[in-house]
Amino acid sequence: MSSEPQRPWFHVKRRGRLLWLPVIAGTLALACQSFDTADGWASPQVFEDGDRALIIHATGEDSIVAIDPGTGESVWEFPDPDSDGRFPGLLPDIDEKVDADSFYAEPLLLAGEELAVATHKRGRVYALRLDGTSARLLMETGSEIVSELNLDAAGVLYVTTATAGVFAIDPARPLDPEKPLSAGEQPGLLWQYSAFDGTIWGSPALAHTETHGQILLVPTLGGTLYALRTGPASGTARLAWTFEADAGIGGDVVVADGRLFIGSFDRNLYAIDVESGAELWRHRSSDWFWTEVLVTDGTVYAGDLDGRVWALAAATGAPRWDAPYEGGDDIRAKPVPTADGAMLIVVDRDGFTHAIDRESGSGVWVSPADVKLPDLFYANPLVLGSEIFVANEAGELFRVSEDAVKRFYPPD
Amino acid sequence: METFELIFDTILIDPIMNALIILASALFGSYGLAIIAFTLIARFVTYPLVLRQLRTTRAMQEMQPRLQEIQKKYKDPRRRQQEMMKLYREVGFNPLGCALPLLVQLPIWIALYQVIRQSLGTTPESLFGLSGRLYDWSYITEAPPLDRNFLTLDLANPSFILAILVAVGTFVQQKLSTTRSVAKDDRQASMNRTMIWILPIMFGFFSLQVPSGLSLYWFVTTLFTIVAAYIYNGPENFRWRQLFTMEPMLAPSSAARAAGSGGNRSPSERASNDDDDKDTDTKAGERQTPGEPQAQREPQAPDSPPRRRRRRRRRRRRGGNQPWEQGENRAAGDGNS
Repeated sequence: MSSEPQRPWFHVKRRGRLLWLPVIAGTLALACQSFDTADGWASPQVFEDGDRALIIHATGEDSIVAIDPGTGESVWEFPDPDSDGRFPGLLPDIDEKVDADSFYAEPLLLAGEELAVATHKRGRVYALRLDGTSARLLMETGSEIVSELNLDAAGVLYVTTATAGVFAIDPARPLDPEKPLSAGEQPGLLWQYSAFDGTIWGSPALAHTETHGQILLVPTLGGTLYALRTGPASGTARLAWTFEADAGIGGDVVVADGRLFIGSFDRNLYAIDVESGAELWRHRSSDWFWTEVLVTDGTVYAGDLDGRVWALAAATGAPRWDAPYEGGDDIRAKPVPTADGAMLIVVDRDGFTHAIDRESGSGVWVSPADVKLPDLFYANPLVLGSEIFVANEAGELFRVSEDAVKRFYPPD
Repeated sequence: METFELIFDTILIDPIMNALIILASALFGSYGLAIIAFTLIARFVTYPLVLRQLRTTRAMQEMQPRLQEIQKKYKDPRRRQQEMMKLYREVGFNPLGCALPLLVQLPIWIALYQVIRQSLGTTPESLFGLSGRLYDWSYITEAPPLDRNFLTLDLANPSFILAILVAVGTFVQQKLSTTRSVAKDDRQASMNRTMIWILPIMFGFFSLQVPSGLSLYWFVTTLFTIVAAYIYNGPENFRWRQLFTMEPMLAPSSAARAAGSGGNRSPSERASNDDDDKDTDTKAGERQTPGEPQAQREPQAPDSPPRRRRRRRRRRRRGGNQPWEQGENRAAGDGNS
């Protein structure tokens, strides 16, 4: 008589004993798959190309697309998905292919009907013709670019990278197609300044001062705001002054009426004198400020990561509304005024669009609550006449109104 | 699924995130030191599991002579299996004692991966999500962004050096937890040999895919376990030369000494209960079968100090006190081969 031996509950057949290895490996692989995709949050912009308007928008396929605002159809795309990364005008010796990459910096209009666009990962800056017929490489910085580009009156383009500092380049200096570049050669480079105390993700701003001339204001995640003298004659950048916040600065610098406004991870919104770097006032919130403020008619409007929108007097920091507007989810996007200036349009991270009365701070309407848009929203909304567009992290563009939300790009 | 995520976030990710930020702020702003401190705290908290793992490893080591005997005695695989299971139950051996610490660590690894990814802000989007996870205390909320650099490492990105250290550490840990096989051509032995190589390669490979902050946690965890095993088993039982052979690193004398002084107790426990051992020895001796092959149960350690050898000889004269001897006598009586 033979009976199966009684085995303890933890017994595993021999051939099954190695099975736990792929189980653990699979679990770890699933849990640790790369969520760290830098999708970019470049905001859609409108530019005039001759007699037509184009919405320039960063897509989810890591490209820049020019969209017809009337139809939502693509006019051109860079890099062209049908050309295996090749684009007319690019020098083969420098850059045979344009790698797809995400975009954080908004396109910036240069002289000569060109747009400067900066790719995130490889830190490349291209000049694209607005009609989409050609492109040329201006600079390869070798560092990630999250900050906006700046252009001064003399036509110098300031490219602020995350870790390699600021590059001042002359976008007009032509590259010689007959003369291949040697390694490391940067034909348009005027100067580079890299003595910063941390990574730079906030966007710099240019300001004109009596004491220092033109200054470039650069915020860092180390918590320091640097004012660099960048006069065209100086040949390089020199430090004018610095300002220390209590924590990192990830927001964008905005200059108005001799003051600069910047939000910080220490939950303060600062107003600073651009001449001296002295703090004028600060306003404390319940969460980080990581936004670009709107300054108009002597009032600063700013959203915070607690979903509140504040209206403060630019001169004193005194609240203009009885209470801040409670927006819902975190707000990174800049408040944008409507065409008539009566309302502010704010989009929160969950993609709900809020129309706020500028005078009272009360909510006028919110996009339909039953329409939960996919993905997250960090880019500034675009107000084009009476139409409002919001873009998500995946590069989809939606047309929003009080009672409807419809995907605009890519078209259905 | 959302509920699961919420629970996982509330119970693991948020507390670990805030704890690491507090530690980093307290340790000169160094996130690397914070990870090391966190690892040590986590290991001390889960020390009972580590101890269980060490005990299981030693129990396995101690069982080897008995398992060898069963292998020789019973040719029928079913009967052999039955006897082995009986032996496992008798000595209280549980294979999960080895696997449990690993399983407990899995959620911590996953949580730590998320924590490092967000708190070090490898992308603006990941740092953006951090603010909502921070406890409302300015010491914490004003700390980010944290310093990603530790020594020469960027903690937010994979490190080749740490991947090698993790692989080497895991290899040593595997060597420590691998016991002498019952039979060298047995499939179990083959699996043991495979495991010694597969796990280090697997963890080394993972270290190349994840932020080096997580690899640092793995490495310190492994180091902690090796040190704990070193202290638990006693330095004299470590055979470092066997690191480069297929033999186990723990000397068999450890098993003999443990058996001689009673079960799965640490050297300090055994020392404090020396008098109790005498009683146990006597009782065990009464159950001893006269013809028992002693040498198989208690292999002589060539490097044992003379005093210990004398004590062991005395015990042999009196009879073994292995916890499984009762079962062995029964098994011998049943002999079917």
